[in-house]
Amino acid sequence: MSLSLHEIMETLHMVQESHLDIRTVTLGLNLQDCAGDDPNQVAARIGERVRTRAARLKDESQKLAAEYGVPIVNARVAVTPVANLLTRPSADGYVAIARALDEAAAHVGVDFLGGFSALLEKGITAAEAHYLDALPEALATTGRVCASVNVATTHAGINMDAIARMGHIITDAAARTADSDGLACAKLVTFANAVPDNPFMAGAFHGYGEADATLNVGISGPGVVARALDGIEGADLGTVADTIKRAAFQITRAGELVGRELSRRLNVGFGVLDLSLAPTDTVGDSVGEILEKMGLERVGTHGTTAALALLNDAVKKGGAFASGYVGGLSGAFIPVSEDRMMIRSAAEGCLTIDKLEAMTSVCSVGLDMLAVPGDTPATTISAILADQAAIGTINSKTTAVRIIPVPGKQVGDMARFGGLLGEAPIMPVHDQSSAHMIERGGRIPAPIQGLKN
Amino acid sequence: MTGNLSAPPNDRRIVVTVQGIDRVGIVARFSQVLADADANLTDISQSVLHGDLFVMVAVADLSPEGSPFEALRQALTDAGETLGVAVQVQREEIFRAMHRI
Repeated sequence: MSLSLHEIMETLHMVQESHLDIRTVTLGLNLQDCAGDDPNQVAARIGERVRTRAARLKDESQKLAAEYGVPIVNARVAVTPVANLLTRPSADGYVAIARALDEAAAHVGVDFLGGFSALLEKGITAAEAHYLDALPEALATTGRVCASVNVATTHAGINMDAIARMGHIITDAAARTADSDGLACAKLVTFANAVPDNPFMAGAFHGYGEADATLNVGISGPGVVARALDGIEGADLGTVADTIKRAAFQITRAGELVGRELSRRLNVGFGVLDLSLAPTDTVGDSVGEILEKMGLERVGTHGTTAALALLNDAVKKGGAFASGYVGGLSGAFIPVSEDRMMIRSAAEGCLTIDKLEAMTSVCSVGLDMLAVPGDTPATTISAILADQAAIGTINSKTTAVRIIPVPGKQVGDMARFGGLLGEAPIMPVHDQSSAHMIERGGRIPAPIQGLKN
Repeated sequence: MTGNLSAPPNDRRIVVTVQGIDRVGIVARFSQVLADADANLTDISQSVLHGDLFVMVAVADLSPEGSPFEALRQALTDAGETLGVAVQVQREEIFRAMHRI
C-alpha cells in the first residue's frame, strides 16, 4: 500500500512539534574477562574495552538519526556490574575502576556510562563491601559514571543490611557534592528486581546472562502521546487507552527500525526495545502533562495512580505489538526534576512523596530524581528505599529510587542539577523516625509470590 | 500519493519534504539537485495551503553510482536555504515502519 501525504506529514509533525525521538541507544559490554588481582591492570583493560567496542557508537547513531530524520538523543554504554571484577578488592581499586570508566566514556563521547553496580539482594560479599565503601568517592570524583545497587528481588527478599548501608552512602555522596546540590546522588539508583538489559540511565548495567555486546534501545515520546490526546477531548477512558496504544505503536516502530539498523551497522546483536515514556524538561515533553490531559487538575491529585496505570498499560500494549523483543524496564518514568508538570505540582505541594510511592505500584521508577531536605536522616532514606523495595518484591516488578538529600536546603528551596537532570523542589519527608526498624537489619524473607515452582 | 510507492521498500529510497512560502522555481530547483545526484524521482506531490504555504513531498531512488545519502542531503538542504524553505530528507523505511503493519 502506498504512503499518503498525510502519513508523511504526520511523522514529520511528530518529530518537529511533538518531540518524537529515540531517547537512548545503549551499548551493553561484557567486562567479566577484564577481572583480576591488580586494580590498575583491571582498570586499563576496562578502559581499553570501552574505547574499542564503543568507538563508533556516537558517530553511527548520529548518522542514522540524520538518515531517518528522527533524533537519537543519547548514545550510552552499560557494562558488567563492576563489584565482581576485583579478585583482591580494595576501595581504592574500585575508585580506580570508576575513573577509568569515566575517562573511557569521555573518550568515546558518551555523557553517561552505567554499570558501576552490584547485586546485593541476598548478601554482601567481601568484595562488594569494598565496592560500597568506594561508592561515595567514586560518584563524587567522576562525572559520567552511573551506579546502581540491587537490594531486593521477589526470589531473595529484601536485604535490609544493604538498604541500611545505602542510606548512609546516599547522604555521604550528597555531602561530598554539596556545591552541586548533591549531584552524585543523581547518578545512583537503588533497585528492587533490577533488569539486566535496561538501556536508561542511571540504572543501566550489562547483566550476567548477556552476550559480549548488545544494543538496547529506549524509546520515548510523551509529547507524541500528549498531542494524540488533544484530538479526543471528552472521550471516555477506553478511547483514551486506545489512542495511547496507537501512538505507542508508531513510536515503538520507529525505535525498532533504528535499533535494528544501528545494531547491524555496529555489528552487535539487538537486545531489547524498552517501552518507557521518559520525560525531558522541554515544554510539551512531560508525562505529567499526559496525566493532566486525562482530566486531572494537577498530577499528584486523587486519580493520578489510576491515570498512570492506564497510560503505562496502554503504552505496553501498543508497543509490544510493534517490537520483536520488548524488555528492560518498560514502564513510564516519573522523574520529578525532569518533568515540568511534576516540578510545578511538587512545588505547589500537590505532588507528595507518598503519592509518588503509590504511583510506583503501577509504573517502573516511582521515586526518581526526588530532592529532599539535606538534613534527612540516613535511616529515613533507608526506610524510603525499603518501602519501594517492598512494592517491587511483592508485585514481582522493578522499582527504583533516585533520591537526593540536598545539602543545606529545606522545603521551599529548589535544587538545581543542570543539563538533562533539571531542577527539583525540595519535598518534605515525614519527621517521625524509622531508625529502630532500619537498625534491626537482617533480611525480609522472600514473599510467597516468589515461590512459583 | 500513488505509483511507485506501492513497490516494496528498499534502502535506496528517500522521501524529500519541503515546506515554506510558495515562490517560483521550487520544484524545478529540487528536481535539478536530484537529477545532478543521479537520483531517480519516482513520485512527487505538492500543494499550496492557505494561499501561500507550499508543501512538496518527493520520493526518489538513489542510484548506486550517484551521490551517497549524506552528500545528497547536504545538497538539498543547501538548495532549501537558498530558496528560504525547510527541507527534510529521510530514508523511506521510517515512514513505512510507523504507518504500516
